[in-house]
Amino acid sequence: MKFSCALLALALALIAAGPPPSAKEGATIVAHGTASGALPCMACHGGHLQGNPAIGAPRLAGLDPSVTLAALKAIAAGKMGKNYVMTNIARSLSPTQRRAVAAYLASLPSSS
Amino acid sequence: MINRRTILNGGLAISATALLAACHHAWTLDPQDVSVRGHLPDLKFRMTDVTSGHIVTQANFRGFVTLVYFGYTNCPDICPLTVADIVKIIGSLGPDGAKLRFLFVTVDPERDTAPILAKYLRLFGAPDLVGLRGDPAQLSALATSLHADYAVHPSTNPADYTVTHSAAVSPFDCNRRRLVEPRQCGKQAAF
Repeated sequence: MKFSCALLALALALIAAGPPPSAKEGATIVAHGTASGALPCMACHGGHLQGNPAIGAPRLAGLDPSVTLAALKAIAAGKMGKNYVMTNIARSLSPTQRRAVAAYLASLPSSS
Repeated sequence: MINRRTILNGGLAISATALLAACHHAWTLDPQDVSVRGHLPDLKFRMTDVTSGHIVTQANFRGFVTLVYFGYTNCPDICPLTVADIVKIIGSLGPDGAKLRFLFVTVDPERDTAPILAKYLRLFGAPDLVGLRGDPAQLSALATSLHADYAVHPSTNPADYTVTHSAAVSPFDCNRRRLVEPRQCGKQAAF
């Protein structure tokens, strides 16, 4: 009985967490944005996600997923960054999409 | 009822469908719209198409409803938003989207080389976005005729490199006649 409860809890936890992050989906979002209104990350952060100091867009390549997710959460909540474009992007990304982007960014080299 | 007339309206509160319909002389606009036919110059320019590398002029866009926008790829806000909005509009038009051309004219040709601008526009996922790059005289001539302003203050420090520009989208019908005089767009281009 205890074993079944544990399995059930695990199943529920997995459902709550959603499907595993797909770096492939993240790559698409990063390059082309989403239909829900997220712009391509590359438009501001650079073709190699190396960042663009001219507009205060930080390097994204190689970020740890926890950093990406924390930043997107803070930006969406209005607690980080002052650029309304980025605020709207963070708000338009679903939890699954955020994890996908985070997974893709983590797959890139952290320095060029 | 205003049919078959170019108009001055209070913004871009017209639909892209109406723009396309203008080619067929069948659109209806708000009674408060005012005709600008004959008061604003037709589309005229000579610049380099950053994708093909060829010199193009207004003649290359005969038969297309043409939307002209001045921007730069290092823009942190209105430029990517505007391009994304235009791509959304093109997509919403279905097959008619192929009758529309969006011309993105860089006001920062020093940094926006042809490959950079071409790559930037490709990001947005619509195949027919046109990037245009001109010399200072070519850029100034087009901007002046469209009542657009821009200023570039270069700096060796990227954070101090300042670019300002009009954010309006200027539409022309398929005979390259000016359709409306837009105001600056806000966060969203309200087509």
